[in-house]
Amino acid sequence: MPEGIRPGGLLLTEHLIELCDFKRGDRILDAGCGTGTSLDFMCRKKRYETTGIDLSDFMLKKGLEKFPDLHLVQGNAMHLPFSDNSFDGVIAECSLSIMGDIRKVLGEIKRVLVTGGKFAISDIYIRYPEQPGAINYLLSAGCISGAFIQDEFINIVNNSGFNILLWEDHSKLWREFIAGLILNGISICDILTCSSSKEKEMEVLISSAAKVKPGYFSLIAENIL
Amino acid sequence: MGNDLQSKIICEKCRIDLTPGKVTLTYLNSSFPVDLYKCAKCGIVYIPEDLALGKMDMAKKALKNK
Repeated sequence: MPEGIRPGGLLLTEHLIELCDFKRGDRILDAGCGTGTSLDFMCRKKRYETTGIDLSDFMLKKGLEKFPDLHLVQGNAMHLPFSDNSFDGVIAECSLSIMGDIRKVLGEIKRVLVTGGKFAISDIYIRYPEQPGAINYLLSAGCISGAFIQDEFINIVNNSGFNILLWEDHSKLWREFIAGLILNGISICDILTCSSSKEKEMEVLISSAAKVKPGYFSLIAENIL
Repeated sequence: MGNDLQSKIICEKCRIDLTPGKVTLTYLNSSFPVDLYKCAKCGIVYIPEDLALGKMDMAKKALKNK
């Protein structure tokens, strides 16, 4: 998947932060901030006190070229380099599914969030996981192989000390995102695998994708005691 | 509209070179910014064959996979 773009763009970002009801001056962390497009929006338009973290030095460097005033930190979301209760809100857009051990990441996000702080997520999920081929798809679908299964994900979030306030399906945005990539010359192979693959394997993968129907969701959770 | 020897794309009506730029395609009730050649004078857009016959069909499948 190309760097720096995601389903819904800044319109979905604005929708998420409005649902969270963050206030001017709130300390907001963008986990997996990439080049900082959402951070810049939240900082300039919403006047939040923003911090971004990303594993990729390359993305952060590109981000600082575009937005030199942003506070960007290189680091791993499984070991956030911030003290306890240091943020009023955390946002993770299309990033949680590629961060590794989801339970560790959620534990860290809970630690850095104040009690009552909101965690806003948008990410990829598999809408029909019971379909034959779903597991093959999940195991082989390259950069979207971390796609969540709704029930499992909700259980993990609940068991990590959060109260889920909202789940929304945004799968139309996902379909438009994929169609937009195709129209701009990015192939299905690039989208699904991020690398070249054998033609036969690709056929199986594309056919599995059609059955399991990847989609996109947003979720708002509150950090509870 | 046609190609000259340097493979430039020329607007038949205005007789000027088409230039690349962001164009918004509307397809199946969705809008997509796409880089295409267009005439700076009359605004006509050149849709290449691979887009019209290949990518549009793939995009349609993606949009309809509900």
